[in-house]
Amino acid sequence: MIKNEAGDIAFNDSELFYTLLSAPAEVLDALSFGVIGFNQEEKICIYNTPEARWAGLEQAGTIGSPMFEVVAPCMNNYLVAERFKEALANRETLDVQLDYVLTLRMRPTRCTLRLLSDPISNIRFILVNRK
Amino acid sequence: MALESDSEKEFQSLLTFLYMAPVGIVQVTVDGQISLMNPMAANLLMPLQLNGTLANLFEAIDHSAPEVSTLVAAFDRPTGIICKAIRFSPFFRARRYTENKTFELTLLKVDPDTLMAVLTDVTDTVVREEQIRLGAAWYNAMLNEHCRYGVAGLDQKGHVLNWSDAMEKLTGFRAHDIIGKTCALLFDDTPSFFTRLPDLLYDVTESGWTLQNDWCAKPGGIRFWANYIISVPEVSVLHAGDPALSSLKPTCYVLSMRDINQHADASEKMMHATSCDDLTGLLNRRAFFDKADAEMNRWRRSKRPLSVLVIDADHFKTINDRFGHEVGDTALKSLAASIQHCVRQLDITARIGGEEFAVLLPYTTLADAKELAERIRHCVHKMVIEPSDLDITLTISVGVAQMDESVADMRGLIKAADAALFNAKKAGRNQVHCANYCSNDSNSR
Repeated sequence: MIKNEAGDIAFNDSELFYTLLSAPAEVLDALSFGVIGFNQEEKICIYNTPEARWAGLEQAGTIGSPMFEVVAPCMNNYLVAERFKEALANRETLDVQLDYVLTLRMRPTRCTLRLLSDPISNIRFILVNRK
Repeated sequence: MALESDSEKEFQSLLTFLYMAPVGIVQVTVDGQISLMNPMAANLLMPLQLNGTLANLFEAIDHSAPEVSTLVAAFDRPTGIICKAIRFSPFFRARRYTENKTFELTLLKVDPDTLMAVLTDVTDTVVREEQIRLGAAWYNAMLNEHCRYGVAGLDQKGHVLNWSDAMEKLTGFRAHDIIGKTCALLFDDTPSFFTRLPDLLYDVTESGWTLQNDWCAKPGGIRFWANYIISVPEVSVLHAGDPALSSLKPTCYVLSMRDINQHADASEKMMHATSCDDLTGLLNRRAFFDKADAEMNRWRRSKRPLSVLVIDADHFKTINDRFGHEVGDTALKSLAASIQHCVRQLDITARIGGEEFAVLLPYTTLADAKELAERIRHCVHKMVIEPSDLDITLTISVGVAQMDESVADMRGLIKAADAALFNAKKAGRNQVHCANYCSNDSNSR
């Protein structure tokens, strides 16, 4: 089934990586969870509306920014950033979920993160589900 | 409308300012509950947590810097600096022992209920500082004419080629007693130094120099604590396998030595402070891994046996809870002293966690390591912890592992010993267990 409506797309979907790759911007923006997409150079290429609203950052301003240095320095450690680096280096798929605390507008906020990476695409995703 | 958008813009830039700040900033209550924090703070603190939560700063760093909550409790003024740039080795709960970092924490009380914390990763700074201090300490030693400082030349095998008056004064050996003989004679534990000497010289050839501390003994038996450098003269640093190695001139190495008994000066103390654990005086985790990596490289070259013990105090929390932190600290100090008492000088002993210790044993088989572990266990069981009227008994569980080809690196070796430690705990504590992969032949050796 091709999922092209936000209501059809769930945080836990097994095929989510492929769905997100093909989803148009307005579908991504209507999701109930945050989506950050970044390329091999670790520059942001997707930053959906929920994520921008929670973080208090301007959506357009973040596109092209370095992922772990500027937009998400809170994940620049072995729990998140290093996992992507390892997956890329070993040409492996990555699909893990972990509990994390983000600092949205400097408020510690409990979230579940889902890390998605697949050698078939240059784009990788971090999904953010607020608890 | 314009006003609103202006303040919105200001809010945006303030947020961005905090998002990008390269230091961790946290606002907490006096109990440590986090109300605000920036991403760098989460970045530094999250790896210290086990379950993906982070609500309380003091709980988050409790394993790494337990003294912080005590400092806060003891600070009775309504505002002011509680601690400034105190350093600690963070304990990464989810990934034990493998990270080797130093964090720095400043705590400021801004009102009776609110604290601001600044947290930074100063790992690189610490390494640089150590190098500078080392250089400064040697420079001072050489300039200071009161310093007992001497130089000798050694051949490829570490035999003494030439000897100076200063060396005679320092070590008590006369030129005709020592020239042509091994420099291991200068050291208190001559046999163990003699075993280590080829490895030391290899390191020197490879990296240009090595710096060590050891007990030396004068011919009359008087010991002194010496700090020495063995270096390669003139020839620039050679690499292993370099053809120039085989054509080295007869004087291969220079041994520069000083007595640091009388020179426990400020810089020595600082050097001690960065590599040693405050409470026990043993090496801290970072220093342990620095030294352990060098031993690991030696193992790769020589394949001489290398074993490790991971030691954990049994039910330590009970002692802390029942008798208070002060008694707990005394118990840890006694435990550290007992371990130190049992090991050799060349063994590398460190406090790697709250009540966890590691001992790296060069040139030691699993069977010998196990025997030593039993000796330590026995010694700890017998030790008296002050105040003695409390009649506290402390026991330890020990995991033992020996390095072999199936183990990738130091992290793997510690992990293996740690798994054995876990089994020792599970089997009822106060015992020594060997890692599974090597336990089969442990009794045969």
